[in-house]
Amino acid sequence: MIKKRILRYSLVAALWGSASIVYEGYAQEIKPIINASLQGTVIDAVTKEPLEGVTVQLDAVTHTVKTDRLGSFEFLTGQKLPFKIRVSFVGYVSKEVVISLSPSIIELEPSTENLDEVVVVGYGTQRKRDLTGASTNINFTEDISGRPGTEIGQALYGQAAGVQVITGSGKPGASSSVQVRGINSISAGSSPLIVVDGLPVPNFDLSLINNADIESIQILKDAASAAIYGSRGANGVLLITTKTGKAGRTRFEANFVSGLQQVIDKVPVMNAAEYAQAAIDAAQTSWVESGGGPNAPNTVAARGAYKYTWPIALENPETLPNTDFQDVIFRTAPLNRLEISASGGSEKSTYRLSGGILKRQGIALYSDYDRYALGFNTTSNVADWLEVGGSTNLSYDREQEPFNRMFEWAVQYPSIYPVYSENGYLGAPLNQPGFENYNAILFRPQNGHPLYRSTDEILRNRFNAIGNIFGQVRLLEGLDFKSAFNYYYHRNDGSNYQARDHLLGSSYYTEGAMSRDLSNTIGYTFQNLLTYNKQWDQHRLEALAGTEYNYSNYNYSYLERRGYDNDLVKAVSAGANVAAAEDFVTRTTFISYFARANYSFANKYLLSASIRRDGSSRFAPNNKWGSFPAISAGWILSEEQFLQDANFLSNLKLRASFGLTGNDRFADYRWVGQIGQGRAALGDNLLITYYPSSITNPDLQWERTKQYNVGLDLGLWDERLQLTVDAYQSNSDGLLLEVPAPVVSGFTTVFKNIGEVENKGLEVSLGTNNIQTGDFSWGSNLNFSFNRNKILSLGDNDAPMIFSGSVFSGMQKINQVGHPAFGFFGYQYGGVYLNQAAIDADPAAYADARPGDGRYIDVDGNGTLDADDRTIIGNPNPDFIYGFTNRFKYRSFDLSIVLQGVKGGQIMDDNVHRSLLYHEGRNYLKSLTNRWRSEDEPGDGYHYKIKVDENGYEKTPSSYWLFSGSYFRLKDITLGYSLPSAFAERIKVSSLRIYFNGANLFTSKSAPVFDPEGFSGDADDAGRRGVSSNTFPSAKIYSIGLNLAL
Amino acid sequence: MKKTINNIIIGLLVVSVCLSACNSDKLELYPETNLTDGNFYTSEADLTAATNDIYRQLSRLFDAGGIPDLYGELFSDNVYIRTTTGANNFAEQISEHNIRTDNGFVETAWNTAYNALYIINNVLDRLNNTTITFADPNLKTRLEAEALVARAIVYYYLTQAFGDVPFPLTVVTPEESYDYLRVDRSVIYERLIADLLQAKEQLPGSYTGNNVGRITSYATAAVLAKVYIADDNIPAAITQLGEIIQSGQFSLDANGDGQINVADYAHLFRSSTKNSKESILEVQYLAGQNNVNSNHQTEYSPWDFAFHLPGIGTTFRGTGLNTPSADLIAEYERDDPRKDLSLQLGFTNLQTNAFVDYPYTIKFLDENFLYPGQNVEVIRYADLLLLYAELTGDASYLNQVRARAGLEPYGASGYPSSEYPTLTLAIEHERRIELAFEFHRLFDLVRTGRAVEVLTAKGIPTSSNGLLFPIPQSAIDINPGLTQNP
Repeated sequence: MIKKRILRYSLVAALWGSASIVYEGYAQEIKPIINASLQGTVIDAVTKEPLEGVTVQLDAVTHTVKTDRLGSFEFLTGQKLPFKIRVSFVGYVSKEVVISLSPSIIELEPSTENLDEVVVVGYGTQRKRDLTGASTNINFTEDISGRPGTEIGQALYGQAAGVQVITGSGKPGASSSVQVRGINSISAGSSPLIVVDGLPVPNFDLSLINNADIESIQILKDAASAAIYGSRGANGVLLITTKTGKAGRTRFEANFVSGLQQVIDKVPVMNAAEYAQAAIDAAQTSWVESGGGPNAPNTVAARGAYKYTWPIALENPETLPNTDFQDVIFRTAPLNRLEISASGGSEKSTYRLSGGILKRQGIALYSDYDRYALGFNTTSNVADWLEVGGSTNLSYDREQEPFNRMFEWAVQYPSIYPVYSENGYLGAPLNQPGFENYNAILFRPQNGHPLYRSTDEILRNRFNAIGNIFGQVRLLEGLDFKSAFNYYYHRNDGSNYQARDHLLGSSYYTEGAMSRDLSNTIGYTFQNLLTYNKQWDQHRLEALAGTEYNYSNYNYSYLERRGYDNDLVKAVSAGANVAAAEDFVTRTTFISYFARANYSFANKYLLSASIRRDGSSRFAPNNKWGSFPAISAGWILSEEQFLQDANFLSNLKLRASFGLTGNDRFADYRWVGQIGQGRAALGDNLLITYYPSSITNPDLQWERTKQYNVGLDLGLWDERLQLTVDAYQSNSDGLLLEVPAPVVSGFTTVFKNIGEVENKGLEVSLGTNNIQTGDFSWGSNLNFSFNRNKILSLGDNDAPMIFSGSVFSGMQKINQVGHPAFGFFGYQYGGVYLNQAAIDADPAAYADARPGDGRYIDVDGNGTLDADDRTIIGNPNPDFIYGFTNRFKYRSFDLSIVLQGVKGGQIMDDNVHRSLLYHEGRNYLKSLTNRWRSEDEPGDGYHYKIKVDENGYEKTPSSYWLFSGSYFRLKDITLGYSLPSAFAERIKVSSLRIYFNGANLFTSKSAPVFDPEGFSGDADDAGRRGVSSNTFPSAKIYSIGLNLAL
Repeated sequence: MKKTINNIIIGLLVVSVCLSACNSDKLELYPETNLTDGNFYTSEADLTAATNDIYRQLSRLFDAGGIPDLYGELFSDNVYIRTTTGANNFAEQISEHNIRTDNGFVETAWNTAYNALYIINNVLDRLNNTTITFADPNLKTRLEAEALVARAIVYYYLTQAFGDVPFPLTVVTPEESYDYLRVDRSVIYERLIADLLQAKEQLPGSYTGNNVGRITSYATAAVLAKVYIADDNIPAAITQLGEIIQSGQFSLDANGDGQINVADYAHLFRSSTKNSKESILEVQYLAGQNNVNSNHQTEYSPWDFAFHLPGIGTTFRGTGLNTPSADLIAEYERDDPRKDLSLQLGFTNLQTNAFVDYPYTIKFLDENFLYPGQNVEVIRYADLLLLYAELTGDASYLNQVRARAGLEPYGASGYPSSEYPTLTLAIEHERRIELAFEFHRLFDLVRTGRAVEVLTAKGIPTSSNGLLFPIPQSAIDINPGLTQNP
């Protein structure tokens, strides 16, 4: 016995360091086991169906058993009746019962939200009733994991207050991001930390893990909950827990989904006749305004320039093709997903094996996606004091992508051209008789026809492995030590062949280019946790101390050749000239120490405190280390004597928390002044030169967010109504900011910790169990949240940061003190000058304004329109977001409906913007059929006239380009039918459910865009929100599915 | 029991402390795939390579979109924007003398110039403060002098386009940079003149081998002459120009075949001919992939998808900037061979074989249009001859230039004296034609005080206040101490 203990402690010591420390222990007394047995069955109190996998625990003994498929359990025990046993099962109210006969039947009451439920928290678990911070748990029940969406993010829509799912792209392999409680950061990343089974994985792509492998996701929202993740917790934390095996017989499960997908919506643009008229108007208007006679012949000879003329065919639009180019690229695409798993185990060991295949075509041409995943995990109680386990999850996916501007072009390419001209080349002015000279005026195939780059080939392959091994040692009753080694490997290889031939004939060949980008990240985390749980009298204490060492190594290389003789071999090797051969390597190390204590007294008074100390290689020498404390408290009033008479009140808890978290999401080595490599020439001689490309900042450190949160949990009528309200205020200071600096310093921005931003918000979540009869139940969950973001300071002088350029599609954004981050910035559009009198009446009318032109507001009222009249014209952040889920159950049928939406906020879509004005002849938005055409045909008074010579304001950022980002969506509807268990029994299955699902079936919106959710670029970059240009639109999906368990 | 716990806790504490102590140095990580300011500037070769970057800075300054291009050409009557494209109208604003303070082209040009100054000042600081002993002390002196001249060139163009400007002469930290406000132009010129005089003494008159193309003492003198003119010290400018002309180092015989004729003019604008006899200061580019490509041909070619270069069967669309104005095309004398060597009136649509009337300049022509590398003539002998004629009133220098083009001399009966009755107008005309598209036109008109009159007459209404670019709005937003031009 002594030997065994020595072994145990040696192991602990060895895991903590490499030191070998030997302890001497005392032998423990072991009670003799007398063979006696206790048998029973656990059933659902409502349906009376047996429950499989219920945990049954004898009071005061750690030993537990699980019920089998028939709901039966059996204990071998030395004690005599009566026994007190504790019965618990996810989704049911746990209960303690005194059993006085064996076998006996125990009924469990189902619960939509169980207070005794154990939820995952940072580095551990906690009873839900003991939570003092703000977090939301999402269990991946059948109706969530069965949804056809191919990644986790889709399952989170509308489910959690204060959590906004952000889906930039509908590319079949793209994944969502989430934003928790507003934008805390301006220049650093704004997406939350992802923790998979305890391993923090920054930049984790949510599409890399199988939906069916996920047990639950816990979203830590307030700083007190997230502070245990220290310098990486400021954007909130997503704790993903994967499924594990359960003791009992082997259980086989299969989930199959087969669906059809279509583009969620099309952008309404003009048909051929409408476009033809608009094109004639544009030429004629500008010709007349340039001084030409309105009746001058429609010839270049008479009008001097092609732009003032039009092809004769436009006058007979019925002779023109009327092509819907969006129909050309979009298609109905299949989606098939199969996931199978086997799990089980004995009382000592459990395991789970899973595999998944996903095959998903994109809703657009040249878009195809496959994913294969394998997972394995096991745990084993090697001894009553030692548990070991491990897991591995592998996924491989490959994707073909269309050229990224295909969507933009499909919207913008004029409907007057055929897909292909009669000469076999792309339908385009140069191939359409009579249109040859309008190749830059009535749009063009090069960078315009949606099939122009269809001969390219863009591929991506990814391989992802994540896993861990761990050992957990029970040192003493209540005192456990766990050591885990987690690894993460991610490989991401892309290739891009840019064809020579563009379906336009040899004079439009380009040189051809092929590139490969190869990257891999390898990381590991070595984690050691000491936990101590103790209950005495009315006290309950959970304590945690731990260390973590994290190492990550990113390797990237890029190869490119140019100059291809033909498009036959799409390989780098086939190119003539090396255009690029580059590499980039970063390493990141991270050392952390942390501790936490949760204390509760009499199940009424809760107190929790934590602290973390982080050291990061990313931070500069003067600030390598930082500390992140948090404290929170809760008071369960419903347990108080004075409320015991309020029978309707089943739960009332008040919570308050304060915590400090950080944000380290910026590139490695940013504090180091770097030297760039340049090239210069002298004669025919090439010189390699060097120049400083950034400035050393020895003080660079994390952003610091301090957040206060107060919350209320209310349960009424035996938890049939559950209300959670949280209010918070956070202040992030020491912002990692690309702060504008006078360019005299050599740089227009300098990366440093300066500036402050505030977020305030309210989150309400209301769960109700509306109807609960024998056969029928109806439960709802409504959540609502808003966040108000305000910049409090911005560097020296608080100079506003104005962003412009191609990433914002010609729009400007601004960060200005006193306003939300990344507001749209420009002129305020004021409708059309309907006539000369309206111009004369406006002292600030610009010099060459004419009737039918747009009016811009002289905001400062100084009588002239100038740069000072640019103001904040929109906010990409919504006023509030909401979700409403209803779940119905009638006998064997289940129905769930998820409604979700966003209210307020503006979006800027480049497709729309370029179609609002004459822009090289792109097609126009349908709404421009209501444009100003003349004083007799003033249109809707909002859309100005179209003309080929623009005066400049058309192309200057203004609110004319903005649309409402509000939408309301039927996100998900699922109708399922489960085989009654008696029947299932007969065909030898545990359960069988078939269902129909519809995703994104209906959206109400006012913006003429594919999807107001769409945006270009990385969700991590807060500045990109609300701006889209060539976004792959999302899909609506109709699917049927099958859940089978054996 | 209690003892055990104590043991464990003590044991763990010991191990924790050990872990932290062992690991702290693991946080010290530095870039592995590029240099840092911590490990560079440690050898003569490093400092030389850093100084060589000033030539990259000169090419950035003289790229299309740099100050000389925007101010010298786009702001002048030589060119216009024919096809309005893209997401903004910054080019049109400049071309039409209607520049808003948030004009993105002006802002980019300003920022590029100051980034270049930072890089050059960094070179000068590093050379001044280095403890490295150069094997050849003259090399260090020369590098310093090259950097001084490069800095003077950037400041010369900044002051021409913006007037008084911030004037850092060393590396300035972002915190200090707020103190750098606009400095009176005359103060700037005084310092530039001192620097250039020093550099002129330190630089060689010519280079050999791989160094050909570096800044010479003559290039320095030419820049000095321009700064003297800007500073209103005409006699000093004449002296400098005279020295260059009398040196015999330069000639209008650009191709060096012993004959001065129009072939020499053609020689200047070929990608294969660099640093000719006529070249005094030339910004260096190198054609081919991964070399130092110039952007002029792409930026100035027609914005038309059917466009292709003469003799090339593959189309390439230009950006459509700096389209030659009808007024400029009309100013070429009837038999002036320089017209066809400077511009084309259009191109043939390969699909329809129809001629497309869309003029463009071919002074930057490189048949390797994807990776062009034609050098840009910043200061060439003809420019200095015409400038010398302008300052001295001696028409013979003007006539040297006309003779090369095979045109009648000023004063002769065949000269179009009805259009250009005075020597001043004759020189203005000659400079416009000889140096068209080479970033001289508006500088010339401003120097001679004729800009407002000429531009207004051409339908580009402007005023003397309108002849400076606005200080970029962003610069004033960041540092409100900067004042705006009137």
